[in-house]
Amino acid sequence: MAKIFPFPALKANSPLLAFLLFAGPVLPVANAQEVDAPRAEMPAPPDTENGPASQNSAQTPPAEPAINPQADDVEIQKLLSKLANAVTSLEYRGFATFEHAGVMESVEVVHGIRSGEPVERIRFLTGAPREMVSRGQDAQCRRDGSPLSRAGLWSNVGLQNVQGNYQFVLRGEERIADRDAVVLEARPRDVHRFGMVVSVDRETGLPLKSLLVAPSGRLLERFQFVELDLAPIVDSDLQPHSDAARESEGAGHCGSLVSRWQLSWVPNGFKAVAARELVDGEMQVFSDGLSAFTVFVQKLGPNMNYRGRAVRGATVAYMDHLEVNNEHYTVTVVGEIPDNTAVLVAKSVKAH
Amino acid sequence: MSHGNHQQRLNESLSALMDGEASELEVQRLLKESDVAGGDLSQRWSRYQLAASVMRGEKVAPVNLGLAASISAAIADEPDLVATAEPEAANDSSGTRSRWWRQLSRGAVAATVAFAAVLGVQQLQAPQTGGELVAEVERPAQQPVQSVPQPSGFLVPTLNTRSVSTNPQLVPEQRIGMGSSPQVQVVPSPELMRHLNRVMMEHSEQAARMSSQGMVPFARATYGERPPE
Repeated sequence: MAKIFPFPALKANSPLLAFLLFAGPVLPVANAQEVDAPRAEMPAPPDTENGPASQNSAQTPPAEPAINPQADDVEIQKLLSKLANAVTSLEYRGFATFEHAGVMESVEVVHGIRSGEPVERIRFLTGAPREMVSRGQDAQCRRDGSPLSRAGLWSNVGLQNVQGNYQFVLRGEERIADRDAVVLEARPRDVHRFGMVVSVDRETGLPLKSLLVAPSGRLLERFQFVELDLAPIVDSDLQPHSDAARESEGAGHCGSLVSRWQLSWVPNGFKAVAARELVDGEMQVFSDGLSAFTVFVQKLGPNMNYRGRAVRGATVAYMDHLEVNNEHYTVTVVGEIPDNTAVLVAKSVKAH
Repeated sequence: MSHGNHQQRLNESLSALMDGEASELEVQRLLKESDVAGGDLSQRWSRYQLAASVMRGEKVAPVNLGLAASISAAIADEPDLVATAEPEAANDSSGTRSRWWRQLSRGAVAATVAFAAVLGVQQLQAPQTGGELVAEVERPAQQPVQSVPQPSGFLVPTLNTRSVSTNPQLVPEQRIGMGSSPQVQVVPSPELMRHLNRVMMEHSEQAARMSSQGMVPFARATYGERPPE
């Protein structure tokens, strides 16, 4: 029965949501927030505190599903900090499916903690053998005090930033990998990022399922656990299990690089969180706390002067080029962001 | 009981026919039965043939029977995809998009095998009118393009579609100003492909270090890896 509750409410809400999503470029952000505000401040009917909320919202279709926003807010905050804690400090392993646009793969994932740093191993069980082991990356970022590093992300500052860019909504409950989960939706407040629906394990706070959603409501990507084991991880589980394994040592590149390139525009809320020098150029990573994109500026030669976009799953790569002092540079903006945003970012790259 | 006897007699006749020793009466009986009973007898016939081939030491590919059927089915299904795409397109204000979908669908008919996988990963952000809701997230299989990979599922083992499906496709911009649907898609040159793979991987890896999404970005980074050549 609980399933029935979100649907009429969301349908009723959708014109408003669609308006928010698509009016973004036309209206200043402040307007969108004004539209938001009355809903958030809508007082809970005093006599229905213990009453069936779903019946109420069904009788008054335009009402927001959240009858008691304050209580929801508290629960959301709790959930978010639990989530933050879980992804950084919990050891687990399991099997998951990873889908995008009709392609489904299955993966084995292992998440361990060694010397306080996360060590991750992920291996595809379908298709060509692919495996990656990633270890020790966060220390540098923490030292640099990047507010958007994994640990800092859900600090008060990080949380404020995220909530400035997304509106969080509780969407009910579901069972994933034989565990009870709370469904949390992150609705983007403008058109420059995708929405996310995350099912958070009630007990541990681990994201058991996560969906990436385009503004149109189209599902771009789904990652979902099938089986989860919270037993401590032994060292052998963190060793590569196939010859095809790639090892990724994070040398910590948290925004310390002084770039000769500068962006005259990035979407609201995106901050440079990492930078790195490459053999043929440099890259800069921007994040709003949930989504991320990377700007590459490289000297790749004139035969790489493409202009266009490539798409794989939820990731878009928009290529453009740039001429500075008779030198050709290839600009590539890559990320889980809408195409148009990638184009705008690419066009905003300027030399210092 | 009598049915059992009849069946047994049929089987014997079938074996006899296989061995070229069936009498005219037996052949008559089999022909009559194959008309009446439909599938059962012919399936048995296939199995006998297969067994015989194996005994003769021939290389057999029994899957191909099903494969051929699935390809036929896939091709037979294709016009439906186009057809279902059209009414949706009628509601869609962006006519360019529907034209584009139709083109893709046609392409899929022409090359069910090679392009299904590519189409499967192809997800362009064609601008759409609002109206669809986030609630529909739970029903992912709405796009025509998403039903395409189904037949390809049968074909994946026989083809090296893996490298195709993990590779990004480049869509060059034909017009200035975004929001227009792509007109042309090119298969990137190996050099361009390497570049795209590299930047997507680098991005996902770096993003994973910042991420609060658990293992998802790692899956993205790993997904993009090309199998060793």
